[in-house]
Amino acid sequence: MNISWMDGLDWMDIAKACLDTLYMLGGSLALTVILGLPLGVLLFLTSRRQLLEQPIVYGVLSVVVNVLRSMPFIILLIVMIPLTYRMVGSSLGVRGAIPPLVFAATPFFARLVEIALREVDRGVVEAMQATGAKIHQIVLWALLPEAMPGIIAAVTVTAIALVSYTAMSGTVGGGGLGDLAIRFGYQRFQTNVMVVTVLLLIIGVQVMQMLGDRLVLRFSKK
Amino acid sequence: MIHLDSVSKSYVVGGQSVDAVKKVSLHIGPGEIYGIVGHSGAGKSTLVRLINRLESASAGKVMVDGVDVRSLDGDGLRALRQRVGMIFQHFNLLSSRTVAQNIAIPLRVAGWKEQARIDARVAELLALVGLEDHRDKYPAQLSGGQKQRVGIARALANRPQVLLCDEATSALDPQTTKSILALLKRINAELGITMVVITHEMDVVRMLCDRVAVMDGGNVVEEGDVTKVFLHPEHHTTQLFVREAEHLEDLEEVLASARIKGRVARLTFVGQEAYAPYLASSVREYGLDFTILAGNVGKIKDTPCGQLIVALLGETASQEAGLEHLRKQGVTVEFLQ
Ligand SMILES: Nc1ncnc2c1ncn2[C@@H]1O[C@H](COP(=O)(O)OP(=O)(O)O)[C@@H](O)[C@H]1O
Ligand SMILES: [Mg+2]
Repeated sequence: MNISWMDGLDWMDIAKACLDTLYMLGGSLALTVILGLPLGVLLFLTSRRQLLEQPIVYGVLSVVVNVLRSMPFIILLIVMIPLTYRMVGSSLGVRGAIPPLVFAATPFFARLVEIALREVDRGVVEAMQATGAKIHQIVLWALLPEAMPGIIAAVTVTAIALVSYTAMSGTVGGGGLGDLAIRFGYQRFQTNVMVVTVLLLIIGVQVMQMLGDRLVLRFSKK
Repeated sequence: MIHLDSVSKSYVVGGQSVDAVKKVSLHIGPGEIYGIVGHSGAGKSTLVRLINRLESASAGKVMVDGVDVRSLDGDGLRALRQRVGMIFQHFNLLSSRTVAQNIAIPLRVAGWKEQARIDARVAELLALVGLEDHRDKYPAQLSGGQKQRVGIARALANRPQVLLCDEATSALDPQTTKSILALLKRINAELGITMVVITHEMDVVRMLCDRVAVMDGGNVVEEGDVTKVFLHPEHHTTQLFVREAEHLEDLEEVLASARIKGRVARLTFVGQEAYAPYLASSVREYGLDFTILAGNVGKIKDTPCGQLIVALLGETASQEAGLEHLRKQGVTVEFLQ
């Protein structure tokens, strides 16, 4: 074994960074889904020729979503520092990273949910209406179950986007693998740390994609 | 049961108004099977969707079982929709739900909570449409005919008084179409449900309906008992439809190529006389002579009927005597040439 290659590799540090990343990812993904799913449903319902067609509401929501999505994450991160501080009592560390992550990912996820709902056959919604169903029944019993494969795919894509965002939030002291890569790999020229973190990130993304694809298949009944 | 009075519906498309339904008045009695036939774009779907207000009429009055549909509020409308079932050309089942879950949806919409009760009703409906063995399958695992049976079971779940069928057999092959039409006929007979059947196929009307309206360009151009409309179509559109159904599209060609000089008559037999030997007796006893150009004998819904198109030969006097004999027996004689 080439010992020199392992020089300065602190596996405890790496393990802690992994846990931090998982924590940031899990926390921000959960919040993103909780906030983004209703937002996506609202976008869909208020859009043209849908159940709650509301051009003004849709227009406003759509612009807000687009603005947030077009903002580079690094800028969002910095702009949000005061707000983050007020929300979680710190703008640093794992906790401080979660609000900007959720802010960045929610509009993205909501848009993907809207697209997934658009894929649902109009006839199915019509058949639900013809039974006398209320809108919330149509959403819960027909739209969401029918769009489930698309929504799971959207969660997978969002989770993977969040992984790269967590790496970036390391630069403002977010912690996690990205933070480790920058502190050791970049600032202290420990290339091996950088390589290990990147490998871990790649493996993580692969695993998430595989899990996501499996779930999509499991929910597809077509 | 269903009364439409001068009902119109227009859509605005790109600043221009399109009249999909123009001042249509129809009266459909309880327990009746009422057909609406017309070419694609004639306004049939729009018209039927005014009945359960999937579309709102622009003008006129829509009454269903004494309820003014256009004046209903949200709750009233949902209550009405529970009493008016609907089935669709493409079935519109939830692909993510099993057969039983699909059928249970209207029950849950109607507020049923207890799973045992829901299961019992679903089992009844599955038996009604002959799908007992497919309870836990997903729609993707069923044939088209089976999917439409699920659609029918779902539409009937809340024991509606009216069933709206929008091209319910148009996506099915002829054999499956027949079995679905037979099922609808049986349901009508057993449950007494009023049915509105939309189709572009006259054969569906012939097999299933009591009365029919023919639509063209948003207007009802002809209306009446199916036997009357079939045997004596008045409007040009109706005539085209009927000929298509009887495979007589090329009647003019037949007349031209046969180089018929004399009179051509259409003889219509309705009811039991369709099977009686009147034609033979008019030949034997009155010397009526003719060549058969086209014809068919069959049933319109449950009424036996037949039509012959004949070129008359021989002297006018014996022609008239023979035809008079036929008229006396209730045969309708019309001259086409
Ligand atoms: N939602 C709609 N918006 C605009 N035009 C429509 C809409 N639905 C139907 N139409 C128009 O109304 C006419 C009748 O359509 P439809 O009722 O679907 O006919 P059919 O069912 O007899 O084929 C057509 O010209 C169609 O283009
Ligand atoms: Mg149609």
